[in-house]
Amino acid sequence: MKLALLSLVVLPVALWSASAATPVTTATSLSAPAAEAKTLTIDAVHSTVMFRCMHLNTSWAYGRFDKFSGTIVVDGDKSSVAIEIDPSSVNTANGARDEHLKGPDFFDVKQFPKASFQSTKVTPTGDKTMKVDGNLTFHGVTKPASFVIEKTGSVNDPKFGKKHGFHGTLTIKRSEFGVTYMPGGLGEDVEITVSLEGNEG
Amino acid sequence: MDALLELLTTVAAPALIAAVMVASARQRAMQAALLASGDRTPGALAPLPAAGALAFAAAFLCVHLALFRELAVPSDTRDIPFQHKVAWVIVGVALVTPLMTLPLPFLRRVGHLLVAGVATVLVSRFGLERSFPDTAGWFVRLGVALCMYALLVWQDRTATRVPGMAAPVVWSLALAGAAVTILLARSASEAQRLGGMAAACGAVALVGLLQKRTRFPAGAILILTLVYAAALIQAWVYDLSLVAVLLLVAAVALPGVVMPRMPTERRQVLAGASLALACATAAALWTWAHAPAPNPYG
Repeated sequence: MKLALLSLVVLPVALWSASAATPVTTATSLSAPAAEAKTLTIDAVHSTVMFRCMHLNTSWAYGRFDKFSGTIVVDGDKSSVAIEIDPSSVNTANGARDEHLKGPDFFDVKQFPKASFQSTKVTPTGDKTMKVDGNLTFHGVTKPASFVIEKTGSVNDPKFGKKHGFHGTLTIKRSEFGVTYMPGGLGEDVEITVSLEGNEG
Repeated sequence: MDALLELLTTVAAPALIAAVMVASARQRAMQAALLASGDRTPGALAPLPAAGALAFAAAFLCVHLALFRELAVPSDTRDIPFQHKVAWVIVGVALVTPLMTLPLPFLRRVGHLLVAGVATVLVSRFGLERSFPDTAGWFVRLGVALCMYALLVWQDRTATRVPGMAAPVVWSLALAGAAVTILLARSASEAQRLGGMAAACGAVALVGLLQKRTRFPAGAILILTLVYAAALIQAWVYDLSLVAVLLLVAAVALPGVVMPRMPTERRQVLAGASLALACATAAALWTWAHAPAPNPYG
């Protein structure tokens, strides 16, 4: 009887604690070669690809791309990053401006429906940072680009699985990618920020 | 200052280039104008062959370079946009215009047919290959190229039959109307390109006003038709409705039906300009009325 009562108390508690298990923060070094290479699929729901550009040399105008996908392989200096962006998903919180950006004056999404970044070399620069060299393709132009990615965290969540976060920023000159329209209205430098959450497995 | 510079480079400069090149292509007429004692017979006032192609190609390149700051060269790492591909077609047409000056009329006709045929096919292909890539798209591209060629032949015929300023005035109004319409469909750079060409046609119309027996110089129609059709194709691929496209085609095609029937040049200009203006205005109004929402973006 006592055993039955005890199990009535313990069992729900055990079930509750299993369903609400505290996520375990894991530490994965970027500089050391992993025992096993980790291939992470970018979780677009919890990731962001955004950009900013000066408007009339006065203030920063921000925008983001809502559709993108990619993978990150974490394996020391054999790591790699590949991201593909749909430029027609540009979102600057103004429908008319988005339509203009999609058109031939800027992104020309009918002619160039994809933008991408493919790394060619990843150099760990610390436990949490790595320098990524690669090719950025945008508006039909492929050019070398490099930026530093910082690892922002890792988690082993019982519900969502193993996840790793990364953050990086690179600056490009838009004229180098053939986007030259409105030189006086919009700044030449475009800062692209990626905040990526990668799912393991 | 930026706006003034833009106005100078995209409107005033192409107009000046086209006017000077068309006017100076008639050497004896130029001499007549400068010395007030030259030969003013119709033969003397006939333009040199290919002058139109060179004049309007130069005007077009002037606007293009002012807007895009380069004539992009395709390479392994660069796939150039349609606007730059069109610019290359225009450069190509201007370079092969000597074919149009061949001594034998038969060779001249074949040369014109060849240049015009290849250019229309290229513009149609470049403009539509991404939007209509499959087999059905091949027929769409061919159809558009054939329509473009038919428009080109029709415009050539009209310009030959209607001397003076009528044809340049019609083109100027149609180009300006297309520029406004395409601006309403949110492609500002294409609208500026058409605006520059409208200014060039307007300047050539002024030359026609001063020299009554002037005709639209050879090759001008070819360049203008390619630029006009390319702009319509690009705008159609994006937001411009088919109704607006057809109205803009009518703006340059319909005056050709009416103008040759008019007894005087003045009436030709009036009839042609009215029709072009009516069709282009209708296209702009249609586009404005069917815009999704008032545009709060500036």
